[in-house]
Amino acid sequence: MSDESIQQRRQREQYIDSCTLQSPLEVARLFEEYTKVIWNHKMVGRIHDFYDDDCIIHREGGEDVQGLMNVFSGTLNFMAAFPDLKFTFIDIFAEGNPEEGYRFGQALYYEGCNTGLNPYGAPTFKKLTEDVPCLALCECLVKKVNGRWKIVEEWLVRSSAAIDDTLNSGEEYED
Amino acid sequence: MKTDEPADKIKALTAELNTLGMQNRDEVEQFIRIFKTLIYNHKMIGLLHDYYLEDIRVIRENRVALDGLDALIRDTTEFLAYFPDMAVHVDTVIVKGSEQEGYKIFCRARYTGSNLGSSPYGLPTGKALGEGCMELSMLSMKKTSAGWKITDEMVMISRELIESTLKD
Repeated sequence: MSDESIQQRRQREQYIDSCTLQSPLEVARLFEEYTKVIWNHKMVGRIHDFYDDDCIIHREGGEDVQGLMNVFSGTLNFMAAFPDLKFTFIDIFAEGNPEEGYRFGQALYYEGCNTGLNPYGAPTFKKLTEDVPCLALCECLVKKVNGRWKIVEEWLVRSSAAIDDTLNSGEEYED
Repeated sequence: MKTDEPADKIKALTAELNTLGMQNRDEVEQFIRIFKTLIYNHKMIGLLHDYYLEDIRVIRENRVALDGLDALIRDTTEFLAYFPDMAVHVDTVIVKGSEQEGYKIFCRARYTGSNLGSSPYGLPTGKALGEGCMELSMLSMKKTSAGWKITDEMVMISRELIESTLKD
């Protein structure tokens, strides 16, 4: 990892650690930096910072993800499949206030190549984004829980079929 | 008469839509709610012409893009054809911007309905979407010489759930 990347990560972490969520603008920047620290800089343990123990993530197939262990599992699986995974933000904005909490919506796309773990077998070396971005949209509800700001509920739609297609070369796996 | 009620409802909603000047975030939220209701609950697909740019590009899930208003109209019409009893339920609208700069809007909605029309997978299955058909979207709206227009949009929906409803 380059010094520049480490420096960038530290700057992001500094913002995350000092942010007091006083305005929607701050909240939007906070969660962009937070997302990048976890996914682009692989600081996965920071999921603990802002995800509530009982956070529910509503997914596009109707299957909800509940509990931090499942959040960790999903994150690590995706990262392991695409070791160069990078989240690129298109936009993020929020509404709300320090008293009642915030809602934010974000749009981003995934870049990365399947060179790692693959549930179907050998890595395919296919890319997530080529001509049209491999998009993900997400909404989060952020509230104060025991004095700490937490994501208590999330709605996430990923391009699941496109991700699956990137992992599936269609060739049979030979052990 | 049975048709009087929905006819009056469409008139009332259209009248309300036409009064919205998009002067603040509450009017923008109201626009989104009424616009989606008219299109999906009341099948007023032609309204897409009123509020989308001709050369709109709508980025969808799974690396699909709809290029141009005609493509968007075709896609919307097909969706409604598969589920002719469709209803949209707008759960969240988040708004950023102003009348002067334009608006960025994030919306979460659900679709309910049953597969009562034919689809690329064959005859109607009669299966219901249930409560889990989620749509997240982010769009931009700007004031143009032709009025307020949606200038770009990203829309993602529970595609696999929809497909499973269309298959026997």
